[in-house]
Amino acid sequence: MKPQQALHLRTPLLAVLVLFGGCAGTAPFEQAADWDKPVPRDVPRATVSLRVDLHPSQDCEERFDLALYQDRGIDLVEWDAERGRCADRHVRVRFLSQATSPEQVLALATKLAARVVVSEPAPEARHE
Amino acid sequence: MSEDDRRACPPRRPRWLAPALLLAGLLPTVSLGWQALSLGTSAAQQPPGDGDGEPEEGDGESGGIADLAASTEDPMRKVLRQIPTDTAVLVNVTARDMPSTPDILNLGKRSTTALERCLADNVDTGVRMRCAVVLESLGDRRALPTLQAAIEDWDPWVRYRVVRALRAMPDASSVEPLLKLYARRDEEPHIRYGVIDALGAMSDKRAVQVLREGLKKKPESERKADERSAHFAALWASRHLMARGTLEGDLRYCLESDDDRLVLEATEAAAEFRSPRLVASLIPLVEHPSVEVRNKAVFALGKIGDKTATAALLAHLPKVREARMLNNIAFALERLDREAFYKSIAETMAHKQAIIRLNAAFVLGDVKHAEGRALLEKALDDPSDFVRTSAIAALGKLGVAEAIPAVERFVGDVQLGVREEAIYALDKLTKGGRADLVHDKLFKIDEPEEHAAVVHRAAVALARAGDVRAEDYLVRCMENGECGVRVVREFLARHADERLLERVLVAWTKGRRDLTWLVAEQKPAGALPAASGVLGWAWAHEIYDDAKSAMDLLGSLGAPASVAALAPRAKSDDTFVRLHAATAMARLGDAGAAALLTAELDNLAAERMPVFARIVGRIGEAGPRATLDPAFADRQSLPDVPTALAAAAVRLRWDPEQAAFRFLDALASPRGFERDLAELYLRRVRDDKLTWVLRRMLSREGREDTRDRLRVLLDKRG
Repeated sequence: MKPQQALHLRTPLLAVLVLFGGCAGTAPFEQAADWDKPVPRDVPRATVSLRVDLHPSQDCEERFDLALYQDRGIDLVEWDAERGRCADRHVRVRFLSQATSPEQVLALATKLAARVVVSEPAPEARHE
Repeated sequence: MSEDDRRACPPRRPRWLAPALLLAGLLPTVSLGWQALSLGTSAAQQPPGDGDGEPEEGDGESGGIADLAASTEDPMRKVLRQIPTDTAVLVNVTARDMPSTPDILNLGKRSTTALERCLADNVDTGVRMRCAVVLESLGDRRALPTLQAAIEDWDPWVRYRVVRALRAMPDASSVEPLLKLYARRDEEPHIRYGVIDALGAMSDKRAVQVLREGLKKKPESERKADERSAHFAALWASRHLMARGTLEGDLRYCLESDDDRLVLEATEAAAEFRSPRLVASLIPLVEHPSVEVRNKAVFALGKIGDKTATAALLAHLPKVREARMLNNIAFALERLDREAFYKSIAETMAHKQAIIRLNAAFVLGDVKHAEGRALLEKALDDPSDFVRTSAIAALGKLGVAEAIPAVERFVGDVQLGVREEAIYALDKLTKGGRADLVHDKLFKIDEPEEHAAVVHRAAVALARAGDVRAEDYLVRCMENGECGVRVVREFLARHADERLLERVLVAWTKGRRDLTWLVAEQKPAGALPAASGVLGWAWAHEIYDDAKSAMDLLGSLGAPASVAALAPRAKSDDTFVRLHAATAMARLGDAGAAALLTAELDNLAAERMPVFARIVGRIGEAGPRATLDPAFADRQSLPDVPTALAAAAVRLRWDPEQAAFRFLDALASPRGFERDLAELYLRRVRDDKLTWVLRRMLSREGREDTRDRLRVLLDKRG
């Protein structure tokens, strides 16, 4: 094969590789960053239960949630029935156990609330 | 003959005249009676439960009666019966014989073709209009070509109804006919408004261009209507098609316009759009002559949360003259600059007018910050009982235990209002720890007849806490309809009480249908025969709302034998009766109910789909849900948006976590009406779990217009 021919063949191949490489490197991240996506039911999840004092504000519960959900490992934040209160709330945080750990969840919650106490031992990872 | 004689002897009439007149008078009645008897005989020959109106084949002996019944059948019923099979049946029908809209809607999409023929070929204007109205309710897109042709109808009211129908099922093919109508200078104003609205619903760039031009057009003369606010509303419905900067520019134009209606609409939109670049246009509106605009401008500034608005709001605070404005400014400032807010509200708390001090105290309670405690405790020494009461209630709302000693001082206050609020605030601050005070000082107050409202509030508070001392009161209160179902439910959740349950069942049997879900949830002994009995009774007396409640209850009681009583009702002429019956049958594990329900959905009028989702969404049993779920999962990706979202809405009630994603897609749809419909369904499901899922979606949402929609939805959920 002449060197010129080899170059002709290599150029599209290079383009394809760059294209696919680029997709492989960026697409999943971009997709994940755009909006919320369902996580298959069989992906393992675990929960941690916390007692928290939220920073007081009209929408303290929602603010906490919006910040916590920025971590894509957080699956669902479930609250007690004391809607509208900021102090001494019970919250159950369900997370993707392959993406994050109870310690990371606790650390995250501690950053976002005035006071956080683990209210019961974190249960073992389970499938929901 | 004297005058008196004439009176005594009236002129003689022939003897046969009186009986003849009597017979003539009775003739119509006798005839109707005979017809009714004939029809009754015919109906009695039908198999039990056959309510579908289909003609029955009779034997030779009954043929004569059946023929007579057919010849005397109500023409309206006859037309109704023929609609699904005879496409020309409405072509020559008169207004008198035209079946009612709900009756045609009961036939669902099987009536579309006949209605299309009616719209095209019936010469009666009123009938054509009715057909267009029903087509709008049906939302069957197969009718679009007929509707698009009928946009040229000679009658303005028919044209108007046709435009409404096209709006109800937006499609790119309708844009050109609508634009053509829009361009006519001789069109009636109400039709022009309808066209503008419909163009907004089309989600089409051609329409957006025209709407934007219309937005900037002032009326040419005083005689012409100002259509700018209508253009804005339509444009807002297509906002997802516009670049954010363009929309922002249009919003600024509207906020600064001389048309108050336009300003109001734009102010509401600004609260949703939340661009800091709108703040400069919103600030002057804080002093707008219209109270609505003023309040909404402050609300929008709070939502936008841009600190440049702080100075304007602080400057306005001392000038406030209404409680609503005070509240709005307080909430806005609390978000913008908390420190400045507390400084300013401290001054308001010292205002010379008690009504302003009272409202300021109320606001401090509502914003729920511990910083408000010192100001509120100071207000406890206010000379006005009302200000003191407001401050006590606000302290209760703060939920700060340090406030307990200050509030405790007022538990024995001479003023009942002050005393009452202090007890409730204390009970709140101690998380329900002062039920003794609620009972002893309020529920058992001296001269209870004089203080009925005080006793009632105390009883409700005690009942909610499951305090058995309130039981007798609760029973009476439930029976009188003065205590809501929720109170009874909360009491029962904390305290199983057979006697109360018996009384709830008796009240339900006597007609308290608001108790249906409580009875269904608690399943008291005797509920099954009671539900069966009420169904039989209600059916016999044609009281279908009671029959529907009884069927709902039967469905929840888990007795498969009840299917026998339900199955005939699932063939009713009435869509909703059928839906209640089939849903109850599905809950009881009937194998055919799933097919009934999916067939109903496929044929249902679009207008009735939200009700379908509500009724079928009540199925709580895992087995029936598993049976039905695949059919609804398939349908939620159908191209027909109303059907797809109705199917998804059923699943949303069953499993908000999974089903919410279909609604997230819908909120980001290129079709504005799909976004609106998704919002409607999401608003109707009040499940906490959905709120949490929506928060997750908002937190991760990168598409700005979808983010706006999610934000509004969450704000409305509170």
